[in-house]
Amino acid sequence: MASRPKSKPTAPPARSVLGNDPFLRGAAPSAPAPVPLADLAEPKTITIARFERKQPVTKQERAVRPRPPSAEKAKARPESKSRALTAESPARPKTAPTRVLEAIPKPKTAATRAIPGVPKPAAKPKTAATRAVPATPRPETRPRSAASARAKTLTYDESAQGNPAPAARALVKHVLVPEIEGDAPRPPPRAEAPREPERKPGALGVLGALAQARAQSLLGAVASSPTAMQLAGAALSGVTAMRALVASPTGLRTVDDFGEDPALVARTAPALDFLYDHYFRVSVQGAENLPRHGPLLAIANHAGALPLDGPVLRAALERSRPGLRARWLVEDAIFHAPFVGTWLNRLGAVRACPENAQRLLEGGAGLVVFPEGVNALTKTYRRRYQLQRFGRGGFVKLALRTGAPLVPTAIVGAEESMPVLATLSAPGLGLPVLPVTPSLLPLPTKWTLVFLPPIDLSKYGPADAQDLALVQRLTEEVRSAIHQALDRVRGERRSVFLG
Amino acid sequence: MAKSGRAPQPGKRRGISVALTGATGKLGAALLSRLLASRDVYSVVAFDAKAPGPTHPKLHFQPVDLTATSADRTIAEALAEHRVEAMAHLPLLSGPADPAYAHEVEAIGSLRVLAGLGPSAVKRVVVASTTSVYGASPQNPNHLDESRPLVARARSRYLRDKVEMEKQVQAFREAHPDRTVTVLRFPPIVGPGVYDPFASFLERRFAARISGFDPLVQVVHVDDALDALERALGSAWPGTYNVGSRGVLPLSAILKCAGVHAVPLPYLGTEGAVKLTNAVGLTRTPPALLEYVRHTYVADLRKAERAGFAARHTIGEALEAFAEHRQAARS
Repeated sequence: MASRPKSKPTAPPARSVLGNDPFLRGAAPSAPAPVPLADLAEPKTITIARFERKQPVTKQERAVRPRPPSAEKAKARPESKSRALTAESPARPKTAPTRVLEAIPKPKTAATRAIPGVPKPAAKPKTAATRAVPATPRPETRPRSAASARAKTLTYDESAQGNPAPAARALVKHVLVPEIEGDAPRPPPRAEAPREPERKPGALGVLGALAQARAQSLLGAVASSPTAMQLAGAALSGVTAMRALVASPTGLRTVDDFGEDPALVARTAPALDFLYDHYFRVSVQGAENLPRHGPLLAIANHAGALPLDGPVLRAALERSRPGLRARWLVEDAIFHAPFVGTWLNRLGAVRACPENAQRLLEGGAGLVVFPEGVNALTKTYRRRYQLQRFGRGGFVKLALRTGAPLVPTAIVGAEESMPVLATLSAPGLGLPVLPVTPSLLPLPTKWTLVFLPPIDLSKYGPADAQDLALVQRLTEEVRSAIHQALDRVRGERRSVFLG
Repeated sequence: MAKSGRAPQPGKRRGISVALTGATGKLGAALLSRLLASRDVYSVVAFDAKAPGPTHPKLHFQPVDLTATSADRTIAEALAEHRVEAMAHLPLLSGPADPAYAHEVEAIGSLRVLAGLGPSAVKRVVVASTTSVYGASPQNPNHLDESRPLVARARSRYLRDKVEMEKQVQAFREAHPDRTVTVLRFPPIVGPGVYDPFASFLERRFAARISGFDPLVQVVHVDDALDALERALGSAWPGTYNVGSRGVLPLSAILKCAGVHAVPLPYLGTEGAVKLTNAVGLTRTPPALLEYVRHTYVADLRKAERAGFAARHTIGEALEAFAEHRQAARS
């Protein structure tokens, strides 16, 4: 089995469909994934720092608000600067050297983030900066008992069944109070104000600001809670963004070989950026694990009634490795659904089949694969993060055949954003079951993406794609790597919505 | 490509002698005028039921009825008389015809053409087929290569005839390893005029579209198709190749560009409705065509590219040319 030459002739592509197996529905082994409440102490102060800037802050609050350590801010600065620079171009900043840290703000907040008096550090190598964030020990800002009390109040079932915005607001009231206690005073926000006009607000930014202004007048009672304001503004501008998204694609356009419409992608980029930066507040861990060159296969877990994890993971790949063009594969049940399938295809989704995947990888693209396939979309909320069977291992065969590295990827947060409470059988719709979801919009959960070190395939060659035992073993290796990462990140987070 | 249409000088034979079937079809007519204009072509033998429009000193018209049993003998004699070296078989109908007649011409007629080619000294045989033989199916990858199986159980008679014709050509290829057989599969041919049922969509004012589905469509500019045919006639280019213009477009964009008003129909029940209107005589749309406006069937063009054939046009240019032509025709 040892090293075979890579120059062996490539085997003909198998005709099986990647990750879409109707025969094993419900038969997957479901490993119980306990939620360890162990490490709850690490505060995510950066979230608070972002919220406080948006709204006028009362003196009282100013005195008690926590403030992130300046070292952490300094680390975040090169990132925010690069985003502010690229914000000028209207097109999607594909090649912008951006790197995703925790809760990257939009350019607006990025520019104002710089606090006078804190010297700007020289631009560090990006990977170092990113890697440093999770590793930096942060000071304990709040009593442990408060933290665990909060964790108890934050179970999903209590709060998030209804309308997302009020639910989130209710949450915020629970959450912020303990965090505010006993922390260093923050500098007055007045000093930040002159920086505001420096950047051009995009259309969405203006809308967001308007929405916030409206929310401010309407919700005078809760105006003292900036987080609630933030969420209200986010909800309103989210609606605007969604409206832009569902506008019907008309007019003569050019599409690429796989049906992606660059004009539509550019038009919807602000909406996706909004979802990415402000709604799901995506944070990326392990970006340094992505291979620097060539194609790659990102294998990820999958769930939720609306498949948003594909475009978000694509965006994360393209932001984490500038220059990479990434696509995501979509199972037939979604791809051939009327309207939805066409629309996803124009946004960049590709039908999941070995021929498409191989051609994209040969073209040097990054490929997002959800090997759980349609089983994941019908997974109920109770079984979230329990990985379903990974198809037939088609993605391993692809990696062996093309030599593209396999990057196991864990997505935490996505599986709660569009919970499936029950499934109905729906003959004639093309779906195996019809998911029942309580919310029309995805819930604003906090997403964490973890890119794990690539699986080492250097020992194998294209001919090993025929070795079914090896394919099974490698498939299981990827699956367990993702499972471990899911358990770890879920153990580390204290809240579904705040991270 | 030489532009001059000089008559061949007597006694001196410059260039090759070629033959083609379907010279009165739109693709055939375009190929014929190109061959007549080419310096590398000494003479052209045109087989058809009726004479092609223009007369030319290089052109020899040989009337032949492909539905007649004696067609193969007529063809063999004409090929021997004119010492034909290369023959193009273009069994492409210009539009919907009587299915029984189409079957006689395309499937049985092709058999007779191949029978006539058997004993002849023709070195190169070029057959035009379509990429619709792959079938439009939800299982299709985005690019269908030449090794893809041809639709086994096509519901449309039109497609069954195409597949049968290709199988006959394959049998001929195996029986005559000394000949160079080229099969060129074209997507809908677009240019000045259109050539197959799918492309005839573009000539209408209104066309049905399945609501919620917008498949990617590939076309070939008529010049690209002619380039490929000419190349296969002029030099040995064995094998089966997909030939299309570069790029794809969604069906909705193509209809819009062609000035066709798309009428979205619900995808459930449309087939039944089409069958009903066909039975009543209102429409002549084969129900199988609905699959072709619902699912993608785009051919992989890389094999022809690897063999050195590069399309000159993009799909946008092909549609522009079509739109100009149509505007001129309407005004």
